[in-house]
Amino acid sequence: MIKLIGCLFIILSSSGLGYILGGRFGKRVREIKLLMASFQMLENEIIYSSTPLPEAFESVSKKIGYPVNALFKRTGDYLNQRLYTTAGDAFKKSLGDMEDMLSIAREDMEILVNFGHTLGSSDTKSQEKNFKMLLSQLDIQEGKAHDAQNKNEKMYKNLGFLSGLAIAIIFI
Amino acid sequence: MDGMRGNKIVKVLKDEILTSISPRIGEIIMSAPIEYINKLEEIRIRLGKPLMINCGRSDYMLSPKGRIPGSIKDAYIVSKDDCERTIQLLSNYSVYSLEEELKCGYITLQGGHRVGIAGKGIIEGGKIKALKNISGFNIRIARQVIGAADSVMKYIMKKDDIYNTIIISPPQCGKTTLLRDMIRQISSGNEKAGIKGLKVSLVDERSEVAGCYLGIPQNDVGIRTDILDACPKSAGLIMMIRSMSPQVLATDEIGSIDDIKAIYEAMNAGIRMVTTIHGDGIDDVLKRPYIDDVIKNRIFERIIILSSKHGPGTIEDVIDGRDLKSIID
Repeated sequence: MIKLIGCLFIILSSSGLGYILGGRFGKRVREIKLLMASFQMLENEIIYSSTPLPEAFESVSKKIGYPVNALFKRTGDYLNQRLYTTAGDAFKKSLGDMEDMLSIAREDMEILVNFGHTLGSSDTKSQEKNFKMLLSQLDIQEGKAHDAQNKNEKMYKNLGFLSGLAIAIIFI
Repeated sequence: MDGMRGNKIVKVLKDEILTSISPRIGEIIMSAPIEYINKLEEIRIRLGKPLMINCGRSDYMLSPKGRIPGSIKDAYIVSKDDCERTIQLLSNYSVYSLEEELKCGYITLQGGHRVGIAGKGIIEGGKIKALKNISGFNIRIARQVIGAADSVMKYIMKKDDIYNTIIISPPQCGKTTLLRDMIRQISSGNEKAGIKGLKVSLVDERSEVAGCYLGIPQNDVGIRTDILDACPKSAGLIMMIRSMSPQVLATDEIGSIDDIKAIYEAMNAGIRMVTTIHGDGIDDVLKRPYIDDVIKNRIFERIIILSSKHGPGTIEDVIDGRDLKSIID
């Protein structure tokens, strides 16, 4: 009897692990999509309303979902505290703080950090160009993430279940 | 009294000014001797040059510890990092949001303080499109003096009305401070003295009189005052005559022919004028084109001459514009 419960436990936890690992691919796609929508909103605040960055970040953070809302709110807070030399520094710090809570890849992060350096330090026209570039880069990343999801998500989930099954069988 | 003023100015510096400039420079200013801080009028930040403060008519360099150095080699030299941090903090990390202000060359901070900006102008079509390579800042501390006009109000008031008044003053003699307080008293009136307030329209081309920040005047310019902020004088004066039905029109530093045309239009509409002009006295002003007509045609019934003989804001003379005779007590 105990053996049965033990087996169930192994299968469940192994499947769970597979689910989590596989799920990250889907999460990455969703997060990139959310980032794109969020930066689009930020762009509107900057280009059309000339809203200063601290306010712009806070305002957008209220309209979007987790985890990008937390990222933007944190950036807005750091800017209000005036501890950093540039907006890019404040944004980079927020990204660093939230690294564990985000499911985006290293290369996605790099794109964001590079974009951060251009924030707020030039005129409206240049900001517009930078946003355009960011959004097209994120679009490409979304495509890559989608491909990775197709390849890997199912595989990890199945692998999880099957290895759990295999271990359980070995024990029995 | 000085101690109280000292605390107030330290608070103003901390809350309204130092949060918008390079923290390193902020530290130095806060360490400066209190006698200088009390009289602080301008902070001058110039890339590659010593940090300086203007107190009254003298300017002083500051050392890295906030002391007054014996020579230039002990002075704190402003770095590129200082300038970059300052523009980031001034603009709230959003240089794009200051595009319009940068074209005019100045930003107004909360509290009405003006920050003039020096840099390389990017010209397009003969006009300034943007300011790049920012190389310097001039922070002028706004100080309203409530009661600055107390001694002259009796010369300019009539029953429920005022005389057309012009203030002639050399630079740095307090003419804007005097104008501001005159407007305040005309607009708010004085219940106790039975003086009815009048509707005042103020065209504040350089945001110096009312010091508007995000649309809110940082100085008290009276309860019946409408303000056109950062608007060219001549156009602004005409606009307000036609839309705000003022009883009194006020503006700082008239001089061009368009300004004079607007004054004549105000006269025709029965509106009173209160304004200022640069000059040492009537003779100086009479040498200028267009303005000399205004004096000769006796448009202004009251002419106030300022100097800095006993400190800024010294009332040298009050003259009846109709016969050019002095009427000061």
